Amino acid sequence: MINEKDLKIRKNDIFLAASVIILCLIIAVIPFFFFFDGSSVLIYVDGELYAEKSLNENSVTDIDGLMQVVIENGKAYVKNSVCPNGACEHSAPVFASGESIICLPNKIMIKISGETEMDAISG
Amino acid sequence: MDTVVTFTVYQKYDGFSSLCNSLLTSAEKTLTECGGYMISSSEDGQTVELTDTLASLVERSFFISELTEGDYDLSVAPLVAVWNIKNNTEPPSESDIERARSLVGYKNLDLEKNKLTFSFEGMGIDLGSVGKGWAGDAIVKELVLNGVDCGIVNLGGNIRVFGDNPKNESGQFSVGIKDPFDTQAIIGYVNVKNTNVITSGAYERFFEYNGEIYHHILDPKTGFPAKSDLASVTVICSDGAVADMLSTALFVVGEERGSQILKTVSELYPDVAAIFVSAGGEITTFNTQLYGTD
Repeated sequence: MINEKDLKIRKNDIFLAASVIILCLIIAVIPFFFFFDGSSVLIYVDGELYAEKSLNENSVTDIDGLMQVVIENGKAYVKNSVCPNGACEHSAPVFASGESIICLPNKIMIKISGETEMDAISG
Repeated sequence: MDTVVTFTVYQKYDGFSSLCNSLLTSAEKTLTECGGYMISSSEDGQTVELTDTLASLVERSFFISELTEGDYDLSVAPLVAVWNIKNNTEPPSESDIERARSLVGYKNLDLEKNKLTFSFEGMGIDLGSVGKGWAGDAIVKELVLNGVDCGIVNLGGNIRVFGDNPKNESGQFSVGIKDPFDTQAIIGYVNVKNTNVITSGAYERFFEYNGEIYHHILDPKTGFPAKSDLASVTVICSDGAVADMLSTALFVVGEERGSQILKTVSELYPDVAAIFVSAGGEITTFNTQLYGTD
Protein backbone atom coordinates (compact mmCIF):
# COMPACT_ATOMS: atom_id res chain seq x y z
CA MET A 1 0.00 0.00 0.00
CA ILE A 2 1.29 3.45 -0.87
CA ASN A 3 1.93 5.58 2.14
CA GLU A 4 0.80 9.19 1.80
CA LYS A 5 4.15 10.21 3.18
CA ASP A 6 5.87 8.61 0.18
CA LEU A 7 3.90 10.82 -2.22
CA LYS A 8 5.05 14.07 -0.67
CA ILE A 9 7.63 16.01 -2.61
CA ARG A 10 10.84 16.08 -0.70
CA LYS A 11 13.62 18.69 -0.81
CA ASN A 12 15.86 16.26 -2.61
CA ASP A 13 13.21 15.75 -5.32
CA ILE A 14 13.04 19.48 -5.92
CA PHE A 15 16.82 19.65 -6.03
CA LEU A 16 16.95 16.76 -8.51
CA ALA A 17 14.26 18.30 -10.76
CA ALA A 18 16.00 21.67 -10.69
CA SER A 19 19.34 20.02 -11.55
CA VAL A 20 17.78 18.18 -14.51
CA ILE A 21 16.19 21.41 -15.82
CA ILE A 22 19.46 23.34 -15.47
CA LEU A 23 21.39 20.52 -17.17
CA CYS A 24 18.88 20.47 -20.05
CA LEU A 25 19.20 24.24 -20.44
CA ILE A 26 23.00 24.00 -20.50
CA ILE A 27 22.86 21.23 -23.12
CA ALA A 28 20.43 23.29 -25.22
CA VAL A 29 22.60 26.39 -25.04
CA ILE A 30 25.99 24.75 -25.71
CA PRO A 31 25.40 24.22 -29.48
CA PHE A 32 24.29 27.82 -29.79
CA PHE A 33 27.59 29.02 -28.36
CA PHE A 34 29.51 26.45 -30.34
CA PHE A 35 28.17 27.44 -33.74
CA PHE A 36 27.38 31.08 -33.23
CA ASP A 37 30.12 31.96 -30.78
CA GLY A 38 31.77 34.22 -33.36
CA SER A 39 28.75 36.36 -33.99
CA SER A 40 30.64 39.28 -35.57
CA VAL A 41 31.65 39.70 -39.16
CA LEU A 42 34.98 41.52 -39.37
CA ILE A 43 35.70 43.27 -42.66
CA TYR A 44 39.34 44.15 -43.31
CA VAL A 45 40.51 46.34 -46.19
CA ASP A 46 44.24 46.32 -46.91
CA GLY A 47 44.87 44.79 -43.48
CA GLU A 48 42.90 47.46 -41.58
CA LEU A 49 39.60 46.78 -39.84
CA TYR A 50 36.99 48.54 -41.99
CA ALA A 51 33.78 47.45 -40.27
CA GLU A 52 32.44 45.03 -37.71
CA LYS A 53 28.90 43.77 -38.19
CA SER A 54 26.69 41.44 -36.21
CA LEU A 55 26.11 38.10 -37.87
CA ASN A 56 22.71 37.97 -36.24
CA GLU A 57 21.34 41.06 -38.00
CA ASN A 58 20.69 41.17 -41.74
CA SER A 59 22.67 43.96 -43.40
CA VAL A 60 24.44 45.05 -46.58
CA THR A 61 27.78 46.84 -46.27
CA ASP A 62 29.11 48.64 -49.34
CA ILE A 63 32.91 48.77 -49.29
CA ASP A 64 33.72 51.93 -51.24
CA GLY A 65 32.05 50.53 -54.36
CA LEU A 66 34.48 47.60 -54.47
CA MET A 67 31.99 45.02 -53.26
CA GLN A 68 29.04 44.51 -50.98
CA VAL A 69 29.15 42.25 -47.95
CA VAL A 70 25.72 40.80 -47.34
CA ILE A 71 24.72 39.34 -43.99
CA GLU A 72 21.57 37.31 -44.30
CA ASN A 73 20.06 34.73 -41.98
CA GLY A 74 23.25 34.26 -39.99
CA LYS A 75 25.69 33.96 -42.85
CA ALA A 76 27.89 36.40 -44.76
CA TYR A 77 28.67 36.47 -48.45
CA VAL A 78 29.93 38.82 -51.16
CA LYS A 79 28.06 40.33 -54.07
CA ASN A 80 28.72 42.95 -56.73
CA SER A 81 32.51 42.67 -56.48
CA VAL A 82 34.48 44.60 -59.08
CA CYS A 83 37.39 42.12 -58.99
CA PRO A 84 38.34 40.50 -62.33
CA ASN A 85 37.36 36.87 -61.75
CA GLY A 86 34.70 37.25 -59.05
CA ALA A 87 36.09 34.34 -57.01
CA CYS A 88 34.96 36.03 -53.80
CA GLU A 89 31.37 36.14 -55.09
CA HIS A 90 31.54 32.41 -55.78
CA SER A 91 32.85 31.63 -52.30
CA ALA A 92 30.41 29.76 -50.11
CA PRO A 93 28.76 31.92 -47.44
CA VAL A 94 30.65 31.90 -44.13
CA PHE A 95 29.08 31.52 -40.71
CA ALA A 96 31.41 29.65 -38.34
CA SER A 97 34.09 31.26 -36.20
CA GLY A 98 37.37 31.52 -38.08
CA GLU A 99 35.85 31.10 -41.55
CA SER A 100 36.77 33.77 -44.08
CA ILE A 101 36.28 35.00 -47.63
CA ILE A 102 39.31 36.64 -49.14
CA CYS A 103 39.38 38.82 -52.23
CA LEU A 104 43.01 39.22 -53.27
CA PRO A 105 42.48 41.81 -56.04
CA ASN A 106 40.50 44.08 -53.70
CA LYS A 107 42.69 43.22 -50.67
CA ILE A 108 39.56 42.59 -48.64
CA MET A 109 39.07 39.88 -46.04
CA ILE A 110 35.72 39.03 -44.47
CA LYS A 111 36.19 36.94 -41.35
CA ILE A 112 33.85 35.53 -38.73
CA SER A 113 35.23 36.53 -35.34
CA GLY A 114 35.94 34.30 -32.41
CA GLU A 115 38.07 31.30 -31.72
CA THR A 116 36.84 27.88 -32.68
CA GLU A 117 38.08 24.36 -32.53
CA MET A 118 37.26 24.03 -36.25
CA ASP A 119 39.96 24.71 -38.81
CA ALA A 120 37.92 24.00 -41.95
CA ILE A 121 34.55 22.70 -43.09
CA SER A 122 34.09 19.85 -45.53
CA GLY A 123 31.03 19.76 -47.74
CA MET B 1 38.49 23.31 -61.49
CA ASP B 2 35.51 25.62 -61.44
CA THR B 3 35.68 26.11 -57.71
CA VAL B 4 36.99 28.51 -55.10
CA VAL B 5 40.27 27.38 -53.56
CA THR B 6 41.43 28.68 -50.18
CA PHE B 7 44.93 28.20 -48.77
CA THR B 8 45.61 28.50 -45.03
CA VAL B 9 49.20 28.50 -43.79
CA TYR B 10 50.72 29.47 -40.46
CA GLN B 11 54.04 31.02 -41.44
CA LYS B 12 55.25 34.15 -43.16
CA TYR B 13 56.00 33.38 -46.78
CA ASP B 14 57.01 36.04 -49.28
CA GLY B 15 55.30 35.58 -52.61
CA PHE B 16 52.78 33.07 -51.26
CA SER B 17 49.92 34.18 -53.47
CA SER B 18 52.13 33.82 -56.58
CA LEU B 19 53.11 30.33 -55.45
CA CYS B 20 49.45 29.39 -54.94
CA ASN B 21 48.46 30.76 -58.32
CA SER B 22 51.24 28.85 -60.05
CA LEU B 23 50.33 25.60 -58.27
CA LEU B 24 46.67 25.98 -59.21
CA THR B 25 47.59 26.70 -62.83
CA SER B 26 49.85 23.67 -62.89
CA ALA B 27 47.17 21.37 -61.38
CA GLU B 28 44.61 22.68 -63.85
CA LYS B 29 47.01 22.10 -66.74
CA THR B 30 47.76 18.53 -65.64
CA LEU B 31 44.08 17.70 -65.39
CA THR B 32 43.17 19.19 -68.75
CA GLU B 33 46.17 18.50 -70.97
CA CYS B 34 44.55 15.50 -72.64
CA GLY B 35 41.57 17.48 -73.90
CA GLY B 36 39.82 18.94 -70.85
CA TYR B 37 37.92 17.63 -67.86
CA MET B 38 35.99 15.48 -70.28
CA ILE B 39 37.97 13.34 -72.68
CA SER B 40 35.75 11.96 -75.42
CA SER B 41 36.07 9.69 -78.42
CA SER B 42 34.97 10.82 -81.86
CA GLU B 43 35.08 7.37 -83.46
CA ASP B 44 34.78 3.70 -82.48
CA GLY B 45 38.01 2.31 -81.09
CA GLN B 46 39.68 5.68 -80.65
CA THR B 47 42.82 5.66 -78.54
CA VAL B 48 43.96 8.64 -76.46
CA GLU B 49 47.45 8.93 -75.05
CA LEU B 50 47.14 9.91 -71.39
CA THR B 51 49.71 11.52 -69.14
CA ASP B 52 51.06 9.38 -66.28
CA THR B 53 48.85 11.27 -63.83
CA LEU B 54 45.64 10.74 -65.79
CA ALA B 55 46.46 7.10 -66.51
CA SER B 56 46.93 6.56 -62.79
CA LEU B 57 43.57 8.23 -62.06
CA VAL B 58 41.80 6.06 -64.63
CA GLU B 59 43.45 2.97 -63.16
CA ARG B 60 42.27 3.86 -59.64
CA SER B 61 38.78 4.57 -60.99
CA PHE B 62 38.64 1.03 -62.42
CA PHE B 63 39.35 -0.29 -58.93
CA ILE B 64 36.38 1.62 -57.51
CA SER B 65 34.19 0.68 -60.50
CA GLU B 66 34.93 -3.01 -59.95
CA LEU B 67 34.15 -2.74 -56.25
CA THR B 68 30.85 -0.99 -56.91
CA GLU B 69 29.99 -3.20 -59.89
CA GLY B 70 29.74 -0.13 -62.09
CA ASP B 71 27.77 2.10 -59.74
CA TYR B 72 30.78 4.37 -59.89
CA ASP B 73 32.05 4.89 -63.41
CA LEU B 74 34.48 7.48 -64.73
CA SER B 75 32.95 6.94 -68.20
CA VAL B 76 29.77 8.70 -67.02
CA ALA B 77 30.80 11.70 -69.21
CA PRO B 78 27.96 11.38 -71.79
CA LEU B 79 25.39 11.52 -68.98
CA VAL B 80 27.13 14.45 -67.30
CA ALA B 81 27.01 16.28 -70.63
CA VAL B 82 23.35 15.57 -71.34
CA TRP B 83 22.19 16.48 -67.81
CA ASN B 84 24.42 19.58 -67.60
CA ILE B 85 23.18 20.15 -64.05
CA LYS B 86 25.08 23.40 -63.70
CA ASN B 87 23.21 25.15 -66.51
CA ASN B 88 20.05 23.18 -67.19
CA THR B 89 16.76 24.13 -65.59
CA GLU B 90 14.83 21.05 -66.67
CA PRO B 91 15.73 17.40 -67.21
CA PRO B 92 16.77 16.18 -70.67
CA SER B 93 14.43 13.96 -72.67
CA GLU B 94 14.25 10.27 -71.80
CA SER B 95 15.62 9.37 -75.24
CA ASP B 96 18.64 11.65 -74.75
CA ILE B 97 19.25 10.10 -71.33
CA GLU B 98 18.97 6.58 -72.73
CA ARG B 99 21.31 7.37 -75.63
CA ALA B 100 23.90 8.79 -73.20
CA ARG B 101 23.44 5.93 -70.72
CA SER B 102 24.12 3.35 -73.44
CA LEU B 103 27.56 4.92 -73.93
CA VAL B 104 28.52 4.57 -70.26
CA GLY B 105 30.51 1.53 -69.18
CA TYR B 106 34.05 1.28 -67.91
CA LYS B 107 34.28 -2.25 -69.35
CA ASN B 108 34.22 -0.64 -72.78
CA LEU B 109 37.39 1.26 -71.88
CA ASP B 110 40.79 -0.31 -72.24
CA LEU B 111 43.86 1.08 -70.51
CA GLU B 112 47.14 -0.29 -71.79
CA LYS B 113 50.00 1.56 -70.13
CA ASN B 114 49.05 5.18 -70.88
CA LYS B 115 46.87 4.41 -73.89
CA LEU B 116 43.15 4.65 -73.20
CA THR B 117 40.93 3.12 -75.89
CA PHE B 118 37.22 3.85 -76.12
CA SER B 119 35.23 1.05 -77.76
CA PHE B 120 32.58 3.38 -79.16
CA GLU B 121 32.22 6.84 -80.61
CA GLY B 122 30.67 9.26 -78.13
CA MET B 123 32.14 7.60 -75.04
CA GLY B 124 34.11 9.73 -72.64
CA ILE B 125 35.58 10.04 -69.18
CA ASP B 126 34.71 12.83 -66.78
CA LEU B 127 37.26 13.92 -64.20
CA GLY B 128 34.68 15.81 -62.13
CA SER B 129 34.56 13.16 -59.41
CA VAL B 130 38.30 12.84 -59.01
CA GLY B 131 40.02 16.06 -60.11
CA LYS B 132 39.76 18.10 -56.94
CA GLY B 133 40.76 15.16 -54.77
CA TRP B 134 43.86 14.57 -56.84
CA ALA B 135 44.64 18.30 -57.00
CA GLY B 136 44.62 18.64 -53.18
CA ASP B 137 47.39 16.06 -52.87
CA ALA B 138 49.36 17.44 -55.81
CA ILE B 139 49.24 21.01 -54.50
CA VAL B 140 50.24 19.98 -50.98
CA LYS B 141 53.19 18.00 -52.33
CA GLU B 142 54.47 21.13 -54.08
CA LEU B 143 53.76 23.39 -51.08
CA VAL B 144 55.89 21.14 -48.88
CA LEU B 145 58.67 21.06 -51.50
CA ASN B 146 58.53 24.86 -51.48
CA GLY B 147 59.08 25.02 -47.71
CA VAL B 148 55.54 25.33 -46.39
CA ASP B 149 55.40 23.37 -43.13
CA CYS B 150 51.70 22.95 -42.54
CA GLY B 151 48.32 24.19 -43.59
CA ILE B 152 44.98 23.56 -45.21
CA VAL B 153 44.01 23.54 -48.87
CA ASN B 154 40.26 23.89 -49.29
CA LEU B 155 39.08 23.13 -52.82
CA GLY B 156 35.43 24.07 -52.69
CA GLY B 157 34.81 22.05 -49.52
CA ASN B 158 37.27 19.25 -50.31
CA ILE B 159 39.71 19.63 -47.44
CA ARG B 160 43.37 18.59 -47.56
CA VAL B 161 45.39 19.19 -44.38
CA PHE B 162 49.13 18.74 -44.03
CA GLY B 163 51.82 19.05 -41.37
CA ASP B 164 51.30 19.76 -37.68
CA ASN B 165 48.61 22.26 -36.77
CA PRO B 166 50.43 24.83 -34.62
CA LYS B 167 47.15 25.83 -32.97
CA ASN B 168 46.69 22.38 -31.51
CA GLU B 169 49.07 20.48 -29.19
CA SER B 170 48.24 17.21 -30.92
CA GLY B 171 49.06 18.76 -34.29
CA GLN B 172 45.66 17.71 -35.61
CA PHE B 173 43.26 19.83 -37.60
CA SER B 174 39.58 19.89 -36.71
CA VAL B 175 37.48 19.62 -39.84
CA GLY B 176 33.75 20.24 -39.53
CA ILE B 177 31.33 18.21 -41.61
CA LYS B 178 28.60 20.28 -43.20
CA ASP B 179 25.03 19.40 -42.26
CA PRO B 180 23.35 18.32 -45.55
CA PHE B 181 19.98 19.55 -44.26
CA ASP B 182 21.24 22.93 -43.10
CA THR B 183 24.39 24.02 -44.89
CA GLN B 184 24.84 26.79 -42.34
CA ALA B 185 25.56 24.22 -39.66
CA ILE B 186 27.82 21.25 -39.09
CA ILE B 187 26.94 17.80 -37.83
CA GLY B 188 30.24 17.35 -36.01
CA TYR B 189 33.93 17.32 -36.73
CA VAL B 190 36.90 15.02 -37.22
CA ASN B 191 40.43 15.58 -35.96
CA VAL B 192 42.88 14.65 -38.69
CA LYS B 193 46.46 14.99 -39.89
CA ASN B 194 47.97 14.70 -43.38
CA THR B 195 44.83 13.53 -45.10
CA ASN B 196 41.78 14.49 -47.12
CA VAL B 197 38.24 15.04 -45.86
CA ILE B 198 35.87 14.98 -48.83
CA THR B 199 32.08 15.16 -48.72
CA SER B 200 29.52 14.45 -51.43
CA GLY B 201 25.89 15.37 -51.10
CA ALA B 202 22.87 16.08 -53.22
CA TYR B 203 22.76 19.62 -51.84
CA GLU B 204 25.92 20.72 -53.65
CA ARG B 205 24.63 21.26 -57.20
CA PHE B 206 21.09 20.71 -58.35
CA PHE B 207 18.08 22.23 -60.06
CA GLU B 208 14.42 21.94 -59.20
CA TYR B 209 11.84 21.11 -61.82
CA ASN B 210 8.13 20.52 -61.19
CA GLY B 211 8.83 20.20 -57.49
CA GLU B 212 11.51 17.54 -57.93
CA ILE B 213 15.20 17.98 -57.13
CA TYR B 214 17.69 16.88 -59.80
CA HIS B 215 21.18 16.77 -58.33
CA HIS B 216 24.62 16.30 -59.86
CA ILE B 217 25.53 12.80 -58.63
CA LEU B 218 24.41 10.59 -61.48
CA ASP B 219 23.71 6.88 -61.30
CA PRO B 220 25.54 5.35 -64.30
CA LYS B 221 23.07 2.47 -64.40
CA THR B 222 19.78 4.39 -64.41
CA GLY B 223 21.07 7.49 -66.17
CA PHE B 224 19.29 9.67 -63.58
CA PRO B 225 20.48 11.48 -60.45
CA ALA B 226 21.16 8.77 -57.86
CA LYS B 227 18.20 7.94 -55.63
CA SER B 228 20.34 7.39 -52.58
CA ASP B 229 19.34 6.55 -49.02
CA LEU B 230 21.98 9.09 -48.05
CA ALA B 231 21.90 12.86 -47.75
CA SER B 232 25.69 13.04 -47.71
CA VAL B 233 28.78 10.93 -47.25
CA THR B 234 32.19 12.08 -46.07
CA VAL B 235 35.33 10.10 -46.81
CA ILE B 236 38.66 10.53 -45.04
CA CYS B 237 41.65 9.08 -46.87
CA SER B 238 45.27 10.03 -47.44
CA ASP B 239 44.77 9.42 -51.19
CA GLY B 240 42.70 12.41 -52.32
CA ALA B 241 41.68 10.88 -55.65
CA VAL B 242 40.39 7.76 -53.92
CA ALA B 243 38.60 9.83 -51.26
CA ASP B 244 36.95 11.92 -53.98
CA MET B 245 35.87 8.90 -56.05
CA LEU B 246 34.68 7.00 -52.99
CA SER B 247 32.54 9.85 -51.72
CA THR B 248 30.66 9.83 -55.04
CA ALA B 249 30.56 6.02 -55.23
CA LEU B 250 29.29 5.57 -51.67
CA PHE B 251 26.60 8.17 -52.20
CA VAL B 252 25.29 6.16 -55.17
CA VAL B 253 25.41 2.72 -53.52
CA GLY B 254 24.09 3.84 -50.13
CA GLU B 255 25.16 3.00 -46.62
CA GLU B 256 24.76 -0.77 -46.46
CA ARG B 257 26.73 -1.64 -49.58
CA GLY B 258 28.99 1.32 -48.93
CA SER B 259 30.15 -0.15 -45.63
CA GLN B 260 30.95 -3.46 -47.33
CA ILE B 261 32.89 -1.70 -50.05
CA LEU B 262 34.82 0.28 -47.44
CA LYS B 263 35.94 -2.94 -45.78
CA THR B 264 37.59 -3.99 -49.04
CA VAL B 265 39.03 -0.54 -49.67
CA SER B 266 40.51 -0.47 -46.16
CA GLU B 267 42.64 -3.50 -47.01
CA LEU B 268 44.49 -1.30 -49.52
CA TYR B 269 43.99 2.02 -47.74
CA PRO B 270 43.99 1.24 -43.99
CA ASP B 271 43.44 4.89 -43.09
CA VAL B 272 40.11 5.15 -44.94
CA ALA B 273 37.10 6.22 -42.87
CA ALA B 274 33.63 7.48 -43.67
CA ILE B 275 30.68 9.30 -42.16
CA PHE B 276 27.25 8.59 -43.62
CA VAL B 277 24.29 10.90 -43.08
CA SER B 278 21.10 9.12 -44.07
CA ALA B 279 18.18 10.79 -45.84
CA GLY B 280 16.43 10.60 -42.48
CA GLY B 281 19.28 12.40 -40.73
CA GLU B 282 20.88 9.44 -38.93
CA ILE B 283 24.65 9.45 -38.73
CA THR B 284 26.68 6.26 -39.01
CA THR B 285 30.41 5.91 -39.27
CA PHE B 286 33.04 3.54 -40.61
CA ASN B 287 36.52 3.37 -39.11
CA THR B 288 36.28 6.85 -37.57
CA GLN B 289 37.85 5.46 -34.40
CA LEU B 290 41.10 6.06 -36.32
CA TYR B 291 40.42 9.75 -35.83
CA GLY B 292 39.01 11.85 -33.04
CA THR B 293 35.39 12.71 -33.77
CA ASP B 294 32.69 14.69 -32.07
